[in-house]
Amino acid sequence: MEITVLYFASYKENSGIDKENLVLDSERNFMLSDILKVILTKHPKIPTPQEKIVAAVNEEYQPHNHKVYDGDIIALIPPVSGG
Amino acid sequence: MNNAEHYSIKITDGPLDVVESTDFVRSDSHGAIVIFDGITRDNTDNRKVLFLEYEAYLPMAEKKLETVAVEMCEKWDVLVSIQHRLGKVEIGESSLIVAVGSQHREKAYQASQYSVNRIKQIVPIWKKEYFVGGEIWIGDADGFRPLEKIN
Repeated sequence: MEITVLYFASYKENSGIDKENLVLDSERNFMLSDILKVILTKHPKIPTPQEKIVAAVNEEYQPHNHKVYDGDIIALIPPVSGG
Repeated sequence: MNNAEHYSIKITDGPLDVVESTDFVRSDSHGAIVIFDGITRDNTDNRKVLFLEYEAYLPMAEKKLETVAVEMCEKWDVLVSIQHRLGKVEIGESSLIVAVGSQHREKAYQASQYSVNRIKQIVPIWKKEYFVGGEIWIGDADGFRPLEKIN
């Protein structure tokens, strides 16, 4: 399966990209935590420990045990600072 | 109550229009309008600030601003207009305007205060501060934000 990962603000600078596609073994069931592990291994400059990462799947915040499906858009959300 | 007629949301690269927000929340049955105008100031923690730059996860930021507005309408039965600016915001310019109209002032003050706190909690918008000697993303990088407080 293939998913899209979005990086914003500090995470965009840490990873050097704003978007990438990840291809994963379709035989497995993936949780958000599995994806985050792949992402943080790939982008070690992202300083946030995995358990503290806030992520959205298809534009909704989700817990790390949320199941991820083919075509999902996962956004890593650094601490927000609007206003 | 049909909430859709009780709030308006705008995220824009251009200057914000406070009159537009004030007009939206004006009603003959209401006696109060509270305006919050968030402005880029020239200093933070002894740093001399040059300007701010805002970035958003756009579709989600619009959805979450709408969530904030709906919550305000439901909790306080108010009219709400929220505008947030993106991109470069110079010293003295507005980055956020929240206008709240209500029958009496208490609800408008409460809803206004709530809106800014809530925006800083759930809306995926980020600001980078450019100051003399450097630049920094604002936001508590070590802050643990439990999901139940975000959703």
